[in-house]
Amino acid sequence: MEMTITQKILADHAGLEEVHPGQLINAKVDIALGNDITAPISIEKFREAGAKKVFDKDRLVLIPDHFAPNKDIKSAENCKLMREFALEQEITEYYEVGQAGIEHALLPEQGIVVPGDLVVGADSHTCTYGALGAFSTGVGSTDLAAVMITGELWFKVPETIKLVYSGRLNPWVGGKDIVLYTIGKMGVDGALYASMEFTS
Amino acid sequence: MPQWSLRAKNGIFYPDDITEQYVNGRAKRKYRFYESDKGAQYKDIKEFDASKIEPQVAFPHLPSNTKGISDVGTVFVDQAVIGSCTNGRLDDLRTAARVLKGHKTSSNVKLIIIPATQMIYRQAMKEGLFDIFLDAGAVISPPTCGPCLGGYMGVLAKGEKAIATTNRNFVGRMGHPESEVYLSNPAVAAASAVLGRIGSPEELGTIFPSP
Amino acid sequence: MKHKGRAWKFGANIDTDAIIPARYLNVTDPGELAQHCMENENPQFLQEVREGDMIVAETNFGCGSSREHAPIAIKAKGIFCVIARSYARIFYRNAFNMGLPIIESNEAVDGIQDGHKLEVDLEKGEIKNETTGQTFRANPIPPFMQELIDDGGLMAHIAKRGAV
Repeated sequence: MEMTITQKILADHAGLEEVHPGQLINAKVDIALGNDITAPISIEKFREAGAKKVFDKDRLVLIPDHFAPNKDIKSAENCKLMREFALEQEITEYYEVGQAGIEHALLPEQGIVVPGDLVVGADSHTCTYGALGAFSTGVGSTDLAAVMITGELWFKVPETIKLVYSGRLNPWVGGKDIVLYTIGKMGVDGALYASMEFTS
Repeated sequence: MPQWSLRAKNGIFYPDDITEQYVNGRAKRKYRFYESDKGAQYKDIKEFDASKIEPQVAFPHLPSNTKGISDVGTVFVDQAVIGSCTNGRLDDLRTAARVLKGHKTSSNVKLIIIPATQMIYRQAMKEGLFDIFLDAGAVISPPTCGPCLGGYMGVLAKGEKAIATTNRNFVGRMGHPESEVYLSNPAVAAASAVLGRIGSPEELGTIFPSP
Repeated sequence: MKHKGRAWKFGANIDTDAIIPARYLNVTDPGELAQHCMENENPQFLQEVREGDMIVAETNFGCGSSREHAPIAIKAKGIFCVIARSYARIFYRNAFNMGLPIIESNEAVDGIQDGHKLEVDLEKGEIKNETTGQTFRANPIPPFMQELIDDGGLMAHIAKRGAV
């Protein structure tokens, strides 16, 4: 069966020859990401479940970036909770402010996410890594907690909408304009659970 | 970089030579380039002529509420934010610096620039971009998501308007429920900080460098 | 089991910043999050909503951020369920994962106005508008999502599979 890039990555991570849009699969996750506002909830659920060790200490990435350097006492408590968890679990990819930055700029920069990966993050902007040819998608804190324990997650294989761009860019026009223009044409719910494949 | 609010599950590009250049030397694990098969099934195929696209501005309160820069009209702003996971990369900062060089931000505008990572921060400093930003009257923040979601480092008061390179402009996103967020690229945000209203770099007479 | 409550009607694209403004994301306590649920969107809702009331909304409910604080705030506010034409993808996952019942039904959204009294039967997938006397069908819940609900959410589901 001929497949899209998204189907191929999902199939390989689910250990299947092929996958079809609409199919529910359980797939192995290469990188799971949490930050100082979403990870504390995941960590709480991880503990409630009685889990002791994360699935892979090199593949759970924890970044304090949303309200860090801490904006107030509550934010500081959240960051502290995440830092202590990272220490306890010997998380390799934990970046304290001073080494860190905004998660979605940091992960590609540090070579943590790579082309062909399946990445989930408890942050809706996790889709950024599609720029590298990775399948990446945002999930909730409970999803992240499940991945922290099992290294896997359920996915519904999406249909794909292909977006083809031609022509030279005008002065001062960049990726941001292309995507805002596309959203403007399609609407905020224009892609309806689909995968967006950007090509030229 | 692909980021949007299209309710999509993911967005993806085929990796190419540029991807190879970027990941080679940084990748911590083996990587693999995938591409769609020729006969793959698509729900829809949409074609766009990029040469017809001008700089875009998303008006409150949805990212899809977009207008081309020439249709914006007069919108005065109180704040400009250049940064975030969408536009805090080195290229974005270089673009902002190109526009801001030799200019001062309008006395009515607070310009906040946020390099997205410590590495970008250092490189921007080395390249002299910080001098341009400081001369223009910008404040340079350490990396943080803070202002994008109304956390801190640039929260808006009632009635204030911001132009931002961030990613969402929902009601109250950057502060008071009666504040407004307009989304744009870094060049437009920088030009707007100087003009005191949403506008393009061309209004400042800044020439776009030929590639 | 049947459940009764008042309908609170909302529009399309109710985003996660409307449900719980991002400035409160330093909070994880459900009770405290509930105190700010929809405060930008509808201050009257915040003041007058009662335990067991329901949210009825147009398309793309819960769009925007992945924050689970949004369904947590709704549930902690005492909302029994949400009825909408459609949901944003991550909100949909989150609601099932953490046990907030959500219903998709175009006809129900068409036939319910703000303030109407509703009676909902989740097992049967039936929504009755007691104010008008009409009855609506909910779209069937996909089998896997039903399995998640039956197991008591995602964490209980993986525990059952012996993953912990």
